[in-house]
Amino acid sequence: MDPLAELKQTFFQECDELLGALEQKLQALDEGSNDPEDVNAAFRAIHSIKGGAGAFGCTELVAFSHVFEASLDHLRSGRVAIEDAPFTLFLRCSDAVADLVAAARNDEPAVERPDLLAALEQVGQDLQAEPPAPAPAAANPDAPPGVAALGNLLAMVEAGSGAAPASADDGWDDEPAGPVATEARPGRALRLRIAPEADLFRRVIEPRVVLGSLPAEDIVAIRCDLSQVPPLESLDVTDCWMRFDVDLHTELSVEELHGRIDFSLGGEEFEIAPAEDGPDLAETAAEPEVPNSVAADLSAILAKLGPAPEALDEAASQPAPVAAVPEPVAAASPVLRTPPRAPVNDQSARQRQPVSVRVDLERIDKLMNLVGEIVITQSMLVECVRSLPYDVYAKTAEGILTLSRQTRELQDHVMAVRAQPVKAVFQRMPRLVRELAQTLGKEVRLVLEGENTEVDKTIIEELADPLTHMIRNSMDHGLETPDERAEAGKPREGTIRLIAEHRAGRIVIAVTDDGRGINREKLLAKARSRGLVDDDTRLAPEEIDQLIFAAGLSTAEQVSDVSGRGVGMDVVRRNVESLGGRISVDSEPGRGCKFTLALPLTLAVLEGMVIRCGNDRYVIPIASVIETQHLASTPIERLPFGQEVLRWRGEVTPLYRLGDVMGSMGTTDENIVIIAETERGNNVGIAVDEIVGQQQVVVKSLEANYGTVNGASAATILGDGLVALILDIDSMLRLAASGDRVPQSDLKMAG
Amino acid sequence: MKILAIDDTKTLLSLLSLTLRNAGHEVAEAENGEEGLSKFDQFKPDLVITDLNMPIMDGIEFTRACRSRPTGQNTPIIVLTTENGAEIKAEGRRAGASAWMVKPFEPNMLLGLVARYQN
Repeated sequence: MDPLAELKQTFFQECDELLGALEQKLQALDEGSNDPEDVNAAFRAIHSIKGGAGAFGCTELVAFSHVFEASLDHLRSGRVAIEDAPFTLFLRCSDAVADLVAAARNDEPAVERPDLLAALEQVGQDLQAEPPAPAPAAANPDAPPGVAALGNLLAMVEAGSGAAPASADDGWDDEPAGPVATEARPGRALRLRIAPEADLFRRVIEPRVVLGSLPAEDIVAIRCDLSQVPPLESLDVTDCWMRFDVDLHTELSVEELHGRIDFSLGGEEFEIAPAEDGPDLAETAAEPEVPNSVAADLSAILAKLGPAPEALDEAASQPAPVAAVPEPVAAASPVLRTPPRAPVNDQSARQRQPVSVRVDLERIDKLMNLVGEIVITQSMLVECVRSLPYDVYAKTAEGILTLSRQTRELQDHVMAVRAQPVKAVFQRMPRLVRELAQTLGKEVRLVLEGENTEVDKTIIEELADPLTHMIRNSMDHGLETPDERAEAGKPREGTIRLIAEHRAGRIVIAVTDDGRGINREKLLAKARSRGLVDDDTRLAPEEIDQLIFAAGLSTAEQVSDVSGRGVGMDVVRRNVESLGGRISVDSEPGRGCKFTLALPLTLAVLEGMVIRCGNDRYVIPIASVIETQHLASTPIERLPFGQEVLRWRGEVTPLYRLGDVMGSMGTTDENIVIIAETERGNNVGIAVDEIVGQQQVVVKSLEANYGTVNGASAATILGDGLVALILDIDSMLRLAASGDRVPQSDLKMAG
Repeated sequence: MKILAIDDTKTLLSLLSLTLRNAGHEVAEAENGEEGLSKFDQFKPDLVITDLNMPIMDGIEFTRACRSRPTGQNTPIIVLTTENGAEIKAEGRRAGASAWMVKPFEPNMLLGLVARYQN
């Protein structure tokens, strides 16, 4: 019902993309690119942000990006040479724009940046004497009011359409309901002042519905007061800060009017009083409440937007008549038509970009689900065909094979639609590091590797939070101050590496720093004091490190304004684990610390090897499988404490019998050993009875129905309709190590 | 317009939906807030008219629940009730009610209000 809110969301999404492009181009320029096209692209990005912000009434954002755009324009026009441009400043400004956008979207207050604005205005200052576009417009107090109105189009639309659908005669919408019309009528002048609570929109009350309940013919003027709108940093876009003054000339009593309004507004949200100066309001209604400076800014924007000189000239040369029209909508309309012309300018640039379509993730999810069902149906068909007599089978098999291939292709393509490089998340990190380095007074170099590693969209979204946390942690606790580093004989500048890669069917992201490492004594002491570890329990150094993920540790001392934020590493771990991922830490005192985050590439399908063990079948993700061989031809040794090992390519590799670990039903008769890789890159042998085949399986969550099943990450439905567990090698190893499994003999007895 | 009407008094509910249907609206009915919520999800109404005092889940709770789901944040909710106290009205507003109408309702007034939500 509210297309405006939807539009706004789309705008914010676009802002994210534009900000990404802006930062990328500025970075390239900073690193020495001399390509004017990079400058143009950066300029276009900020220009588009400003344009959208104007339409949605984000005045602060408009103001900042306007100045930003102006200084980039100096580069574009060649007034400032690319080599001389302060790209570090520009990068900080793009951060500030991101803040403003975030502030407009969320409820987070953004910091005002007068320093940056001042610095921006310095860019190309000496050349400023020439005729910059804003100057003449600023000097012209008669700038068309409609131009100013662009600054708050949203409010104008709201206020303008206020009483429009009120009644059949359509009162004051089309014809200006000037004071003239009401003069002769009986009644008296009243003023209704509506000052709604900020939650007005959340109550789904549209001002026009409220205003529409007034008799349309009695309305003399409506004025929308925007003076209460807080600065953008502190503005929640779902808050309503508009105040409405309605001048009425009516025969209705105050009580009657009260009754018309109080159906949706609380008694404290409006007041009705006799008007002191009726005509005054009618006049002011023609002039939207936008500060002159903004008007000037905006006329400058419009001037720059390009070829709409006829409309503008006309308005500018006849300011008086335009201003006299007592109808904000009418005054605004010629101008409102001009912005859409802007894209025409950019057209040539856009055509070179690949065409893309924005699709709801939900639709792709539906498609994905359907493909999943097809995969199951297809493997069912394969099963059916096997039992057919040979001559029929031969004919059908070809078709089935083609179907299999096409299904797989279909699946790959759908997956590809959802896949995105982790760049989307990595891109945000340089900024985080930049800002943190400044706050913490540390010198940091961030190295990104494997940015093009692709991963499912759903996973991408889940990456940002843990990554931010890991980096914050490394910067705050890991890295030392430059002086401390110098003392320790390290370079003053610390290095944080962010590396993404595919391993064992997962995306593994490592955050490595060369700082001081985890202070084990302190960590252990704290864990003891909080009762997380008994006083007499002795822990291996690695075990102490893992305490960093323990719940309840990330409080007090550990929380600084940088890495605190109320969410501890334990929450990060929980979130990661709920996605079927894992997070771990390796620390070397004095040398640094490495956080490793492993997540599945997708939550939807996986390529699996179907194996049998006893009466049960399991699926091992094919990405974990390195090699398979006959068990009989593999020399097996038994270590003193009972662990079996085999020698594989010269490496001693532990061997586990799947039937024992998972407690499979039926007699097991292991013939095959599968060499699999764990997330940490170790190898492990898994003895199974038989390899049934290889196929794509659709992942069905176990946790939703059963809770966590040790050793398995999920389940799937095989072609014959039976369920098989999808093994999670790492979790299976933990299960084997814990010894907490159902012994097979017990099961047999029970059976 | 698609309207979800919620009232535990069957006759009133029928009268309400009849009034609305005669005015050309598509109506779904529910007899308490809980049923209302599930109807809300299925029917995806453009507007909700709900009673206040109902068994199982009352109108305030319904409104709150509705506002807390993403699909319910932009749907106007009109409370139609015999209650007219300032306090309960304020509570309704805090829960997210868009408008308040006191029973017994005058069909034309109700339809007038509904019509104003129609784009």
